[in-house]
Amino acid sequence: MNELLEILNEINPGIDYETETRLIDDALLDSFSILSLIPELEDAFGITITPADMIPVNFNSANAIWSMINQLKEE
Amino acid sequence: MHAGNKLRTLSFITGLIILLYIMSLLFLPANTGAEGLYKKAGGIYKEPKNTIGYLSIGDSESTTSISPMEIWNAYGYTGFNCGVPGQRLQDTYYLLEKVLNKQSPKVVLLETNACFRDFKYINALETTIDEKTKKLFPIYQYHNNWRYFHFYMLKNISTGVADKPSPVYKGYQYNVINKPYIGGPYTAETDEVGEIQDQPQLYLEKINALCKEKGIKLILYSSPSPKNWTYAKHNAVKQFADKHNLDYMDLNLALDQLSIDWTTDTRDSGDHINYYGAKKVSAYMGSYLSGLNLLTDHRQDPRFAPWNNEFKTYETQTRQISK
Amino acid sequence: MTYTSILYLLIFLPGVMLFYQLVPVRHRYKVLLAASWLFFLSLSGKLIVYLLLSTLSVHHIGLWLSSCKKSLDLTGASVEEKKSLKAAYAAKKRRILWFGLGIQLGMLIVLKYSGFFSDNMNHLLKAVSYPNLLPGMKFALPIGISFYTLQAVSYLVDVYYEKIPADDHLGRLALYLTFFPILMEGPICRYAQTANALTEGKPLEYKNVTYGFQRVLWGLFKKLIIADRLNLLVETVFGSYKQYGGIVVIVGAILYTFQLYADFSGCIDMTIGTGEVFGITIPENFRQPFFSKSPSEFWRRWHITLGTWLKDYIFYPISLTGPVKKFGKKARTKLGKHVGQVVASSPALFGVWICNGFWHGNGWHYLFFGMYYFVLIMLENLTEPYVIKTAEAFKINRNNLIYRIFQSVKLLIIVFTGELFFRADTLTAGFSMFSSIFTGFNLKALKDGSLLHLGLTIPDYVAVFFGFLAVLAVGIIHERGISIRERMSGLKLPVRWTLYYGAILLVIVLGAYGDGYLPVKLIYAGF
Repeated sequence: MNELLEILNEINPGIDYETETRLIDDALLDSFSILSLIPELEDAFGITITPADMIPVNFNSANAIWSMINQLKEE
Repeated sequence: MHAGNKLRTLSFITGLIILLYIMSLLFLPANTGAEGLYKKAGGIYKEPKNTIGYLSIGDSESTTSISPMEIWNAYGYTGFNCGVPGQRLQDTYYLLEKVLNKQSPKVVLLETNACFRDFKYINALETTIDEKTKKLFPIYQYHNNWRYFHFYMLKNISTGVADKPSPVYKGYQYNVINKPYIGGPYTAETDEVGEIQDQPQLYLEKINALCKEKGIKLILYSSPSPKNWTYAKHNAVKQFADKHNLDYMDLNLALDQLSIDWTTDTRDSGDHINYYGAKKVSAYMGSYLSGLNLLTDHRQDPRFAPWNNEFKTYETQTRQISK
Repeated sequence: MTYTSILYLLIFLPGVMLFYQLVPVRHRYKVLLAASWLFFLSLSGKLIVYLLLSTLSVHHIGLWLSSCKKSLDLTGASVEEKKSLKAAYAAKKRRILWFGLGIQLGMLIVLKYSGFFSDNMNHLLKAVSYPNLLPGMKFALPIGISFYTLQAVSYLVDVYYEKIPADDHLGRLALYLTFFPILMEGPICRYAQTANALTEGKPLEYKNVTYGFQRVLWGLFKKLIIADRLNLLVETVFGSYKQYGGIVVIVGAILYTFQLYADFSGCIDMTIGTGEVFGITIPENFRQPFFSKSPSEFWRRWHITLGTWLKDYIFYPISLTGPVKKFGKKARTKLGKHVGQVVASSPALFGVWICNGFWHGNGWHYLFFGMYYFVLIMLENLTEPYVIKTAEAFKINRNNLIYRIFQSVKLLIIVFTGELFFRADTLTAGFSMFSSIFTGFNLKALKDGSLLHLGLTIPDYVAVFFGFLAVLAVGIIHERGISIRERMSGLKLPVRWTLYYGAILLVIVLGAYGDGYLPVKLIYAGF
């Protein structure tokens, strides 16, 4: 989780990722930052993200991203 | 729905109907004296009784192709262009019937494009509903008269633009927009005969019968239009004309005599001709009409003096915009 | 029959409402479906065959995708076998998807673009002095094909990724694709957004009906008073563009942009309002786009459903393919983080804007329009950190009024220029108009009454101006997050009714229809 927060802060600093739950809905993360996020996540956690995972629910908070990562790890 | 809400909805609608009814009285043209806007629909009815020598009827191919004022200037024939854009033949027939109550022209020129209009019940239905609404609530028809409510106020602002006399086109749809047609020759001959559907066929015959009954010479003509015209359509009309012994002037086959230049004479890439094309077509049709020896030159006739004045207005209007 | 005709507003819509309310709940969706097909028939007649073909194939392929999943049986298989079974399943699923997409897109491409391709091929052949070899192919387009095809594609892809289950209810799927208010101009809905509500058969409710008709009235206001009136001028300026230059062309481009907005967003208001009447929430398509600060924000607020569609079905899929990811990694390591990231996003962004351009129609000027925004948005992404740094260096507060005005003006110029090319007949016409702004610039046009010879009279300008003020006011209020209708429902009944009656009269009287005006088709229905 800490690793994830680090990545997030590096890509788009100035957001309190631990509490924010509307990253996508409030357009705090735009598609451009999402796009930089994905390769970082893939490299850091050894997962493959497909278009199927590209839904707002998966990216709205750090927790959501974390649970998506764990789910993808299991597959 | 809740009963109270039903009642409320009902009273809202009733109120609306009453309101529209009352407002309609305000908008009837009699109360405003506005003439400019309805020249197309009602213009022909404003012409004095039995003063029109020839009529041209049909759809937009008719409205855009013959300018009666040009023919007046060259030959002194009085004519009116009764074409209505998008009109179907049955409506053309009813319009003609109505006009003939007041006018007794010697010649009727029928543009043939509408013979091939796809007849759709939905369009007929839509027109009927529209007409009914206009009758029920005249405000729907005459709503554009709002511009005349404060005409004197606007006049001060517009300094001379709005109070110019309205252009006198005698039903012709004046347009100088120019979008060239670049498709090349389109009049290669074929033996194919196009199909005139039942509905237009019926009204074609009715128009023919009506003209015969009134002693009017009916002439079919096709305005130059690469987009709409085909040789097969020509053949179909020709067949009809031969069968009923009518003259058929197909201007698409007379492009050289007309000297139509498709780079300058069409307003929408060969769908309709513009003012420059209409000038040529009008000159050609005028000379044809004079060859018939049926119409009278009224230019020196004091009873027709208004036509000379109207022509002056027409001339300044067209010269000004189309320089 | 379109949304603004008397037949639709006074007969069709009330008729559908009546039948809808009269039949039992479980049959209500059938009324909507029958109405939708009737509406389609009235506009496109026999071409309904294409629509039915689309509907049936989407239904079938969706079910095929899900049965393919069910047939995947991993019980008792070893780890190795599981892997190969899964791979075979994935490959099969992908083939089915592509087959389904092929049918949908194939129909769209053949019907919409074959004319463009054959024309351009012929030009090419002519250039090497061959006569016209390919016959000029022009097909009649069924109404709404550009919209329902995108909905069909989104459904198939969502089923493929298991975001939604495949629907075995043919009626629901058919209604999802063709619900009559969205048929002509969208918005492009997702299955998850509307499908269930469409078949639910909610009863008509007083609040929904009044709110719905309010919205319809607002749409009519925009379309009839503003858009159709401006059409006269726009037709003149763009129709005989060779005669005009300078200020007249600028006015033409600005008023066309305004016409397009009033026309399209007005139609969407009518659509959303009609949906509301039946208790169906249709996604918004505009969010005060002209208050944006940058081109990319503009496109997040203008034709929103097309933007999100392109993001979900073009941008992400392209970004997440292997080669593009690899390219991205290379770009990031070689060019540094920021520039690398911008470059990495370029293939997907390029795909989005090519599709955006082409989707609007088959002309080079549409493609140019797409590329124009591609370049602008790339530049925006590239320069963003430097702009921020420069602003900081010069101590410019990027939120102060002057800076905001500067941003707005810049954006408006960008948008007007884009729409100039978008509306021009051809790309050459667009360039000639654009350059005539500078070569033919003359302030005299403002004084000598040139602007009064373009099809609009002074009363027309006055009507447009008041319409503009109304749209602006509503935009500002919405931008502040205030709901006008909530406020209105708080008013006393006599006041409220006076407002309604006034608005209805205003639309009837000031509407640019009837004698002296040309009937104007909905602009986006032609795309």
